[in-house]
Amino acid sequence: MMRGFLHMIFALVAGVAIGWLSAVAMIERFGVQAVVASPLWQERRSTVDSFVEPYALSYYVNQGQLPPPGTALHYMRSVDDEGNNLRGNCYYALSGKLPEARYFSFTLSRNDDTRTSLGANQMIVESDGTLKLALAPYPVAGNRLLSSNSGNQTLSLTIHEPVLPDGIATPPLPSLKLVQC
Amino acid sequence: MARVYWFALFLASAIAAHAGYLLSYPQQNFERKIANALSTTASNTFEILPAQIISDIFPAYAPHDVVAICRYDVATGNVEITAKLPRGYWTLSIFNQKGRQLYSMTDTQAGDSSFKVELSLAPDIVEQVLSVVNDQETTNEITDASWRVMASEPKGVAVIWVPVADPIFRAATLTAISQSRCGAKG
Repeated sequence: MMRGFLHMIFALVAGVAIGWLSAVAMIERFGVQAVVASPLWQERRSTVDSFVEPYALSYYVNQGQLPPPGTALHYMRSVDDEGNNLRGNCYYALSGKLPEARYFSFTLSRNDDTRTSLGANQMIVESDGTLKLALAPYPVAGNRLLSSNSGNQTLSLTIHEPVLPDGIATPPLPSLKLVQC
Repeated sequence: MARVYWFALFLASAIAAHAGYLLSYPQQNFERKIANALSTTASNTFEILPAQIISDIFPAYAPHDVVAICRYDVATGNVEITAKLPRGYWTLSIFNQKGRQLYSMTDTQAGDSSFKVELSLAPDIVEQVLSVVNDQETTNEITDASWRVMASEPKGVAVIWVPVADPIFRAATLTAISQSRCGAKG
């Protein structure tokens, strides 16, 4: 009798623990996804037409956030092209072409919980359509996001209403190279 | 046989805990964090978010953008959202408490800088069946120049986002958005 009761308690406690942990793990797992063509960028999913949708949405709401609108693509990265953390005291150069879109913006989240951003209408684009952006803690000619001068940071890119060719879900994303530290 | 029973019990409790966590904890967490971020606890009123809060709630929006948020509650009646925004790009997004986007509208879809959206609670399954049996019309009726959105859950948030092209336009944008209304339909 006592043995059966202990078995029942064990089955219940183990089941609740596994169920709870698996929910937490799946929310973390399905909230972000590495971009296939540019794996150092991670896409924060907004809506997904599959069984993972509740997990992807919970990833946001669990942090007190709302997902990007369905008309936007949202990417982030916290490493440079060599895979090293983006440090606030270093100068990085972002370069690449973005798809035609209604609007886009870059935001740099610093480790002191402050952010700085640049929108499409505040940036200069090269004549061939290439976008160049510096992440630096000191003045640099051209487009620049001011780094924090210490700690690690995360860069995010949001593209609103992108015009993508048929069958292409993710546009080519810009590279991010370390210039000097 | 006893092992099968215990395994079934383990499996059932795991599924219940998994579903229970997924369906309730993130939403409660979201409600608490949104309540802490906003200065008002009242529903059905727009609040313009300070820059330092914007990216906390909306990672896709830049801190210098203008964002207004309204926590709606259609449990006791329909809610009407009206706004007249500056010319240029803007979006209105309506989310439920689970973070699912129920509706979105941009300036090009609206065709105008002003819009009116009426938000109501969708009829439950019994009401839908009864309406079919009684041959009643429950689909959206547009009685005036407005859009109607039916939410499957009574609570959620409506968000107006306007990227500010130049800081000199910020004051005008804030003035326009501050005149937006999110309230019980009178």
